[in-house]
Amino acid sequence: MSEQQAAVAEATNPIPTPVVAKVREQFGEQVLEVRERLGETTIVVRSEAIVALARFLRDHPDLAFNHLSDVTAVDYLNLNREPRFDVVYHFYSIPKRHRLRVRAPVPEDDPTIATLTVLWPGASFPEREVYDLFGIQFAGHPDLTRILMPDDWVGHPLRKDYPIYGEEIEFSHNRETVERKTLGYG
Amino acid sequence: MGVENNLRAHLPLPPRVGEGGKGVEGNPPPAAGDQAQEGRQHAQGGQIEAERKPAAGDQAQERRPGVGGSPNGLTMLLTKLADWSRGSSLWPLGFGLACCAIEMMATGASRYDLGRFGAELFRPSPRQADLMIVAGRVSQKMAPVVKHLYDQMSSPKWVIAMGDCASCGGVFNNYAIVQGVDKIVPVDVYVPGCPPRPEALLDGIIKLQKKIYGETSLAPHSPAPLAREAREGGEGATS
Amino acid sequence: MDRTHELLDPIQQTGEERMVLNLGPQHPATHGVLRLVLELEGETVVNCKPVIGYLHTGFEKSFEVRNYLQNVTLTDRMDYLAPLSNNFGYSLTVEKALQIEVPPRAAVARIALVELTRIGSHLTYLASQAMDTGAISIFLYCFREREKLLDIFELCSGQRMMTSYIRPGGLALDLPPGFEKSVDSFLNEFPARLAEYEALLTENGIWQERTVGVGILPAEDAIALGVTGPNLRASGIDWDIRKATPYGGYEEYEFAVPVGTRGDVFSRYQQRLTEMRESVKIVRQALNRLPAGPHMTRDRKVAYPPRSELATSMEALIHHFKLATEGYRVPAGEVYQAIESPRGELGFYLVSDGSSRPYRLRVRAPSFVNIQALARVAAGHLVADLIALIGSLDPVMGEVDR
Ligand code: SF4
Repeated sequence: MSEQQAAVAEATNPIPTPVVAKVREQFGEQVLEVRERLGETTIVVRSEAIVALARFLRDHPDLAFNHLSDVTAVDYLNLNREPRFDVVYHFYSIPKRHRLRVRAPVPEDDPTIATLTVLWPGASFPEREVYDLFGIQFAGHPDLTRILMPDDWVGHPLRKDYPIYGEEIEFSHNRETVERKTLGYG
Repeated sequence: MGVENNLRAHLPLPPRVGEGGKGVEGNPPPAAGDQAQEGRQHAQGGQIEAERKPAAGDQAQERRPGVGGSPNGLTMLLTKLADWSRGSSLWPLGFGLACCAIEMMATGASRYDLGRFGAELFRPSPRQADLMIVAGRVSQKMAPVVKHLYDQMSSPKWVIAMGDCASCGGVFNNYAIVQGVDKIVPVDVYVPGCPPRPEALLDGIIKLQKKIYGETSLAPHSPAPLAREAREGGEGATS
Repeated sequence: MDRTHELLDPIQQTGEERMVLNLGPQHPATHGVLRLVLELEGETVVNCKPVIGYLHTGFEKSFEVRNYLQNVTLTDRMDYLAPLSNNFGYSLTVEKALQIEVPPRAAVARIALVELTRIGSHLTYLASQAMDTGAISIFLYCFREREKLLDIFELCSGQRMMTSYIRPGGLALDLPPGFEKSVDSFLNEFPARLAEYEALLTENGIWQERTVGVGILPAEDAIALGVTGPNLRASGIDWDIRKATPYGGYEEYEFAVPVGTRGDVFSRYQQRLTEMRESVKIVRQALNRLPAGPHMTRDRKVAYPPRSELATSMEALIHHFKLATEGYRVPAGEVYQAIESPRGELGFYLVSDGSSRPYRLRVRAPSFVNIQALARVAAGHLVADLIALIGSLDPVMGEVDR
């Protein structure tokens, strides 16, 4: 990485070491891991602590993470990791200009985590999307229904065990089989 | 007479009285309502079918005798008149789905000016529209709505599948997208491209017009793919 | 304190004469396939619930089965009013994960193109906003201008809209001869045209009636709802990612970040007009400093070998084949890169497992979050104002639903 680029990366994501220190001090045991990579900070916390942590991040005057930029999830099924899901939050501080990523692992058998709509009503749509596409429940969400897929849809498309579906593509070598399938002759 | 001259320029109409041949014989043109009614009776008898594909440069005298007792030339003229007016003033349903809709808007806007082809009047309600331009990808959630809109349009009605997504799913071969709008509504013209250029959409509309000109419009609209019928009938009618 | 209910469902009086009205997904004034379920008291909107998903395309799933280069083409089709912004955001993300650098010519050209895209996108906003409020001539004018931009994009890439021109590592092709001239002529005439539109609208009594004081979005609510971009700045918050955390070389350009005061439809309109002017300045600067040189990184890990080598070197041929079929591998790990798209914070969150396809690529789409503000701003207004309101938030459904 060139110096200039390093400087840019630095400027894009100033390393908020004080943030990590403050979070560690406050949450101690609950913080499972802290990662620094490419100028981005990730904090992994126990899922039980997420609301308390988010409130702390938002209300602490030195941290002031007042913008919840995103809520999403990652399914680690293919990487054989336990617990299977991570709910990923991106926080940003408009006054302090720093960014932080928080991950909260969620197990497959009870994919539930508390909602952040109590702190940011704007978390409503992203959380519904995660519920819709991953099947992760957000406890306390005022209206946890499917948002992108039709209401009667079965399955959660972004899970790794959900196939992409679509149609088989017809080439000259498989035209007959595809056509037969389309016509329902197997 | 201006309309008739215009018609003559576009369609193989029977020659006027005095130009040789038995023409309209100076009958006053019936009111629009009559035309439709008369035509429908014929169509139900299925007799008019025989006359639906005029060859290029065809003359009225060469055609088969009139049906149902009405003068041959008049029926032809009315059929053609109805076809011509339907084709020349398509009212598209103003509804866009995705990126292609932006190109559809561009087609309607200043540079490409869809109005030149009589199809600029985007109608907000399906009840008033006779052309549905499916401009964009149709998701599984949207599909019932598209079908519903199509059903709400009154016959005769036509569908243009604009863009790869509407034609076959395009680059989105996945769980969310219906692989071609022809799975839910009958499509008359497919316009390829991602998105199709406005010129391509214009070409699609002109193709559809040719198809309509060649259609037995007084028969209930039977959705058939553009294919052979439109090419032969359509180009025959306008050449 | 829990303000969820207050913000998402602002008026909670229990009127007796309530009517539930469905607006969309096919409705001439909704942008794309947005559906609103309205609760009305007479003509007044009491509650407005956006129902989305009618354009859900499965982008995030599709990303996972394509390699990094192929995915560029998908990003185009998300926010289809600003395809180059999407390309740019995606490319920056992948470049960050790969730790590669972009040659100066490409970096400058990207900024110019992205800012032109911003102008084009805001023009479409203006066109549809004006059309929704009944000023059809503005629509025709704006599209006339937009066509000129599309000509420039076509000149560069061969496509009017879905250019896929900005790619990880640089640009797909070098800038064509005549690029500078056509951009220059656009920049010369555009400000005058913009002034013309402003003359038609800003002081226009009808326009003011329809926009001033309508749909006020207070700053604190905007933040609570996650609103970004021009909509947030129109409410008085000074946050532009280009300035706050510059990316792609924005720190070298001089431009102002306009900030509105009132947060109503009129502010949002003025906000976008001013942003267009600032974009013109940025493009001008980019054009003046456009250096010569390669348009794609020389890093063979990502870039195809040059054509001349393919004819003589077997290794180059094999390498080319490998890159085209399999793609390049991205080191395992996660990155997030946000850019200021014409609609707000467009973020790409990439989780790589070290293969040549993203393990997960999440798009933080600004419209998706912004549209939540509709309930807040619509409450208490008439249905007719609602139409102006949807336009003023400028959502693109392709991006909302992805
Ligand atoms: S065909 Fe292309 S431009 Fe048209 S809707 Fe599909 S992706 Fe968009």
